[in-house]
Amino acid sequence: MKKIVSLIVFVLLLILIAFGVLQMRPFGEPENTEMDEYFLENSQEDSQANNVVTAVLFDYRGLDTLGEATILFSAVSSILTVLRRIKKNGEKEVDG
Amino acid sequence: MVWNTIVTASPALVLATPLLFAFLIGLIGNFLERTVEALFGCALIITSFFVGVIAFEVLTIGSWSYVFGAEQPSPKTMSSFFRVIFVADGYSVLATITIAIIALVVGIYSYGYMSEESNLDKYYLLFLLTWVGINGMVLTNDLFNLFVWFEVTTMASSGLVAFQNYRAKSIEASLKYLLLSVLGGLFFLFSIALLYGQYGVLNLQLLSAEITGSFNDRLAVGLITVVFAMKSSSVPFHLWTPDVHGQAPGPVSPFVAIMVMGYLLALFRILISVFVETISPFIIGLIVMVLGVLSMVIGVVMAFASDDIKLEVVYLSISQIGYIMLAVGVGVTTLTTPRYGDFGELAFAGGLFHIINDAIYKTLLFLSVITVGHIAGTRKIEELSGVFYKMPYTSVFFLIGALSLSGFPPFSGFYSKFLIYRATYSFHPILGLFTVLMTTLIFIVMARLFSSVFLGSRDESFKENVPTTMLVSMTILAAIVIVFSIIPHIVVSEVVVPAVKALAGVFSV
Repeated sequence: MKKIVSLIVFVLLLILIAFGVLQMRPFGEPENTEMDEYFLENSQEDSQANNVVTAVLFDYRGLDTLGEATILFSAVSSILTVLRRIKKNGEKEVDG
Repeated sequence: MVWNTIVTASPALVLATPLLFAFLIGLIGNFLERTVEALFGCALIITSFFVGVIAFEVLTIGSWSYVFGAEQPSPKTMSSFFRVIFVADGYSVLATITIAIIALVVGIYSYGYMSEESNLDKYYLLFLLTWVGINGMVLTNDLFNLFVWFEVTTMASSGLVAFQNYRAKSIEASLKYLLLSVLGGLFFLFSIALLYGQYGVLNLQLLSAEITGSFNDRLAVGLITVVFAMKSSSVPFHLWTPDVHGQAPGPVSPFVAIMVMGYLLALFRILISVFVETISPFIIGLIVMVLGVLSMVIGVVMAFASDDIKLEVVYLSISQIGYIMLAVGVGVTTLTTPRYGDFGELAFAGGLFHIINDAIYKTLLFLSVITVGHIAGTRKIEELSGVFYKMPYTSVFFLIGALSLSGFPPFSGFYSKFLIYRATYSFHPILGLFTVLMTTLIFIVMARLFSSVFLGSRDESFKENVPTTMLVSMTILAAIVIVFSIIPHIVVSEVVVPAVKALAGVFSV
């Protein structure tokens, strides 16, 4: 019963998302291209970078890049936390 | 001059300070354990100071925006909106203040509670990273940036939940939570892609001007609502909540509860500032209301059936999330109609006031229940009795939190719930009666819990020895609850009303 319900929900979601993907505009042609044009025209002047990707990654969306690095840092710290060896007070080391 | 720069940059500094200290702790944590504790304390105090600066400036002078990486931090031209923007308005003040109070108190509590654990530097580091994530979520005004902080919060908090890695169950709970969250994050990213592919902008204001209400917009708003409802433990998607709270180390629980609040606040900001104007406010509001009503009913019912004192508080916290969603949902249905002035503003005020109130008394309840569990060594209701004779202070704190949560008249919870009763009653009388009924049931749950755990025969099996830091943090919260109970009108007019204006003021007719 549970399997059938989850299968139905899964198929419905799949149809919905597939329909959404079919409705999407062609890749790289949004309705409003103001932001793209602004980046192409002004990135060299704004950020002193000859590469537009560099300008977007490290200047316009620099905070997002920092955030992505922080995601990696948090993931690594979480893994180190889970995999650490535990030293209880006065006891010898036990494998976590 | 320097002061002005600090004030303008304070939304960024609220994020940067805990991030800097998290990196510092990661750098030196392995060698110097005492220094780490001091650094953690510094991070708590300095970040709270910057939150205070934002709050003071917004509430006395007015709101402003901070553009990252621009020559001038305030948005001048259209091109500023292509960068990441943080807004400091009444709504972000309400959110950051609530989060900062809880983070500060839970941080102080952790000193005492976690002292027996090893490698505490990792705990402090993940704690600060989670705080960074929540602050980013409530401050940002950019959809992709929101996704980034969403993921930071997810990754850091799942590490916190699994901190006691010698218990297999806590790792299982954390893994379950992590899988659900990452799946949710992917759906969120997919809906951002739908919107960005169509309109080519990510800023919330620009997006709200562009949006047309096509099939893809509706799909995106549906996915975003489901993902954020899942993260904020609303009912059809609440299944991770009891596991995570039941297995997380004590002080992590209230912190996860405040994280849930952060997701809820971000959801309200997205729904109201982007989607409501084009896609029918009535339908969006109705969906949020249905989620709220479900959370209220299921939360209270599960609290009746639970046999664990901490889980009972967890289920009641789900029901409180329901109150908030119901109130804000009622508010959203009235947007762009004259009914906003009749009771919509009241509903928003009730919901947002309930966010502050609930965060504070819920944390107080969590901390007192965790203290009981920590000292007595069990959380089972039938194994506990007469705790009052052993731990009188903790019991009084529990009583204050419980009375506030069950909306008992002189306590702070009553005032926010009263606003919610009035607004829901104006929306539909049956809904108003339903909220009152739920509050009564919550009161019964709380009375049962207090009489069977705290009163009853004296138990000689454990010794009272509550560390001072734990008592201090509970005292701070109890003091805030009492202050809110004495001056609710000032809190509403000074903090809640600006937040309502920032959130939904543009729609007032």
